Amino acid sequence: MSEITATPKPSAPFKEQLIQFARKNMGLISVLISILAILFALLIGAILMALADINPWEAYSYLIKGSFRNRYGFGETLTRFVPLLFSSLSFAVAHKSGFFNVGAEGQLLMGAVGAVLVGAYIQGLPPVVHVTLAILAGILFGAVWAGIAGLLKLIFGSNELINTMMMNYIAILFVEFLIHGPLKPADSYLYVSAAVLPSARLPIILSKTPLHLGFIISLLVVAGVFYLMYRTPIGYQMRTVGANIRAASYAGINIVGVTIAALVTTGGLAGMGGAIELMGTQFKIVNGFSSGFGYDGIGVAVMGRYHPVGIVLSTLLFAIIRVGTGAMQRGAGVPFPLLNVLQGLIIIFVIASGYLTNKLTETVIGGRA
Amino acid sequence: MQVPLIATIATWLAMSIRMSIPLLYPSLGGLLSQKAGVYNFGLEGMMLCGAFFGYWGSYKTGNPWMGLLMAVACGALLGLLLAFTSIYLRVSQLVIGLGIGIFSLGLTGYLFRLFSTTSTGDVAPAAPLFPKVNFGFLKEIPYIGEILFTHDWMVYFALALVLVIAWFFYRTTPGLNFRAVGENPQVADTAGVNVILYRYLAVVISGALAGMGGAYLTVTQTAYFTENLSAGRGWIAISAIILGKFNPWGVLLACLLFGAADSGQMQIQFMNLGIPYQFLLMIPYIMAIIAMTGVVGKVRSPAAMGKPYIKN
Amino acid sequence: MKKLSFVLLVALLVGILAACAPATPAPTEAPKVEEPTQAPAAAEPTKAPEPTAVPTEAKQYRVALILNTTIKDGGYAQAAYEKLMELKEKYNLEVSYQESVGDANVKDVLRNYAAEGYDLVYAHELYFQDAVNEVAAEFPDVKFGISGNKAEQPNVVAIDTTNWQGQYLAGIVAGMMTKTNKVAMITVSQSPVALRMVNGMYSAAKSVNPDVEFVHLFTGSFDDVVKAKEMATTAIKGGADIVYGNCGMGTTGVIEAAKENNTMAIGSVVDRNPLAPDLVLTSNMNDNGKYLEIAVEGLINGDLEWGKAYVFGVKEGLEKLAPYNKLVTQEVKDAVEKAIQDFKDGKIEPPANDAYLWEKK
Repeated sequence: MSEITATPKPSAPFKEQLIQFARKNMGLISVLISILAILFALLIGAILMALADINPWEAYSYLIKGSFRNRYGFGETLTRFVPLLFSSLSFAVAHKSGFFNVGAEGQLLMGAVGAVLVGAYIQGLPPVVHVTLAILAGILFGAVWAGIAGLLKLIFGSNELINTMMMNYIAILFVEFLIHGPLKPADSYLYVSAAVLPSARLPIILSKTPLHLGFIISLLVVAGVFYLMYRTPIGYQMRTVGANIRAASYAGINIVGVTIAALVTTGGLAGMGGAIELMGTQFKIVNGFSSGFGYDGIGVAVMGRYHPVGIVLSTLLFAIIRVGTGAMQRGAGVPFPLLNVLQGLIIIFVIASGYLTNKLTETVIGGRA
Repeated sequence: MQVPLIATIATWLAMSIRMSIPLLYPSLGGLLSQKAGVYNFGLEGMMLCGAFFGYWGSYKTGNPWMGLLMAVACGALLGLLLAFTSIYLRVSQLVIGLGIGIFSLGLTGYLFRLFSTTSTGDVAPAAPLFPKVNFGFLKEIPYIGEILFTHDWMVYFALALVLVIAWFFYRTTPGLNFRAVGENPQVADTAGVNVILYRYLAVVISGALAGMGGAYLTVTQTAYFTENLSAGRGWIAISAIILGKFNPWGVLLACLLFGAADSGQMQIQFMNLGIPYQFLLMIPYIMAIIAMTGVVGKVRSPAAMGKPYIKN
Repeated sequence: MKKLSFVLLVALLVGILAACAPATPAPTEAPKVEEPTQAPAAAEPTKAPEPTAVPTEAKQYRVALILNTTIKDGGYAQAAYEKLMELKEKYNLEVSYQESVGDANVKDVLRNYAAEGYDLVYAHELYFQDAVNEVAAEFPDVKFGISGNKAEQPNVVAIDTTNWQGQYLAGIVAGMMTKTNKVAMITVSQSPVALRMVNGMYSAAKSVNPDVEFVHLFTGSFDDVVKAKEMATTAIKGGADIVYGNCGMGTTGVIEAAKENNTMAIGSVVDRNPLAPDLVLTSNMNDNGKYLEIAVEGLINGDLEWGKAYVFGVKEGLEKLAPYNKLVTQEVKDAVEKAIQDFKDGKIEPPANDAYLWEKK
């Protein structure tokens, strides 16, 4: 990492050249800094593993092999990618619009509830219609759930970070209530919701893997969100409100309208993620349906520096880690808690390395990236 | 055997106090840190580390005081990490907090496995606990005795801490500076307050208190450690800070409310009233949301919260 | 800058695709192809060549275990993990396990193990049984085991205990030993499994003590010891003089509460007496590790019927009571012996699992 901070040192013309180079390749440089931070975290992890009598090389080879050794692992990785991508996009859109939405976990769960209501209880629809309706229901439920926190902010000015966090707990308890009673099939021996009907399940797009249509949808959604945020007037207004609400108000932007649009987008994205996870892989809701996708999404979005490309890359990284750590357990017998240590270190180091990127951006561009 | 309602209520209140203390320590910690303008989202991780080192230190030395000391030191150390990243490096306080959570979950789980090699059915090594304070005849007062005089010293210490913190914030100059650092760091800086130092101190103390809250679980409540023992209490503590409107007394009431809801849920199960327990557990969160709306008095978070301070 | 990032992303994706393309036809992921590394015996694992001999030379079996909690949970998962290690030594197995597997990725874990050519993939968690049956259909040559009651595929075996007969025996002890006629049971949830446990214990206590009353409390968590302790305290303050704990790690907390209030307790899963020798009357022991042993030995000896759900109980010795403490009288011991005999004779019917017996008319 130190080479990069040290770059703008030598004589003036060379320094100027370097700054020119850095200015043009800031994206590449920020990715490189993150990679160095990950390597650093892995190095510490390797020391810990060596202390635990595990061969770090073998262990890390499984981290890679988990995703890339065979077709199945590849499909599995891209399947994990999908819900993570939605929740991180949700966080990023909110952030760009001046919100802290840490409620993706709850919105994702509520989205799954919406999808299960349509997907499991409405019968006799053709698959295309059924899938579309179920996803729309997921979007609606997620948007409404985020909308509650947003309206509270608009009307009372209450802090949405805390509100969305509270709404997560309420959603988790509410879903627990639903699968203990209303949504539990009468003949079920376990606490689960009814399963979505075959007509509302997403087809597999890569045979012999769990990879479903949701992956394609997620990529389209990234492109769509990118277009919305950077190529449409409403996206511009959302970003303006996010950057400086006072300036936006002077510029005559309808703050309330824009905020509502941002809310619907952020909650809808998380809800859509929940619906797609339900319809593509799990088919029914159980306790622990989400396994922390909503919280991981926050880390993913911050690591991806809220940029669509960055988010896709960091989502991929998280998905590889999720799949790879499983393989490390199975293949190299790395104890599960040690894998949590490793993940914690990666998050801390990558986020901390953001300091270097920020510093460098300030130096070469003299302000905001 | 029928138990009179008043006895049930006394049991419930005593239990509410016991269940609220592990929330009160990290909440007070989080309060200090937030008053100085830094979000501490690492409370859960710091608590868990406190719980493990409290157990381990107490077991190794046979002295719960040593366990408590180790827990506080470990919490402070994680607090220092959070302080460095959020104050000096100025990176996302939220994500670093999440990272500390995962890291601590793994670290404590791993150390516990290295330490405890017992197999199923063996009794895991039990660490010594703090005894309950003996109030003599006071304990015998009907109902009141059970509610107020059946606890260990850490309960009373936590209550005293509320008093001290309230006094500190609203009656002393450093306390005023503290709040100024969180409200308007530029002005505080101009007035000669060392903003950075105050923030470092706040976050480190915050970590120490969270560690103490974790240790409360293992040096007074249960003699054993299990993976993920804190079970999300550090996150609930963050809610309690908001529900308590960033005021030490409010935080105390909020923690009591969370404790009362949780133990009330048990009483309702015991009385078999048939209310889905999930709704009961939702009450504190819904109340926190209502509190934020300002319907029952405005909640205002410190103005500069979450914003790193850059000296011009 | 944006352009470059895009190029980088495309390069990375292409790189990934290129990296995995040659690996695609690898034999590991084709379920129907016979594993080249395996001995020919793999084709018909149900009939091992010599059922009686220890087949160390014939074939090294590969066994995988999937756990929902951690190998340090002090009970259910830990018992299976320790059995796995024991069997590894005994039969020279090649073993692997993955812990803390959630519902979101259990199918992937199952498929990974199956594709890697494990002979037996065993999921030690009731909630995984639908996933096991689903994945088993995709890998007809691999044997699957599940700690549950659903074996819908010819290559799946489901093994479980009754989860109420042991409680029934404990209920006799509780019914005869209680002085306040109030017994509290603390479990994790109110699931049908838990309800049958409660009803089993209640009906037994009722059969020996018509005045007995039961309360059932649930913690909602396998690892919240402090909460379980508070729940038991609630029950004790409410007049219960025997608390029964069957709530994961929380069981320890239940017994700590009994110790603090000097009240009798009954443990579960393993012998909990050492936690409070004077107060823990007995524990209903469930040999959860045994499930895996049955599946593994069935695989090696070829004497297990696949596609079938096995349920074991007191009769088979998988559910029993731990040694009593000194408070338990001979009279109680005799009553328990009688109940064991009744189970052996098949005289006791399973209780309901949809509502509390005391609420049923």
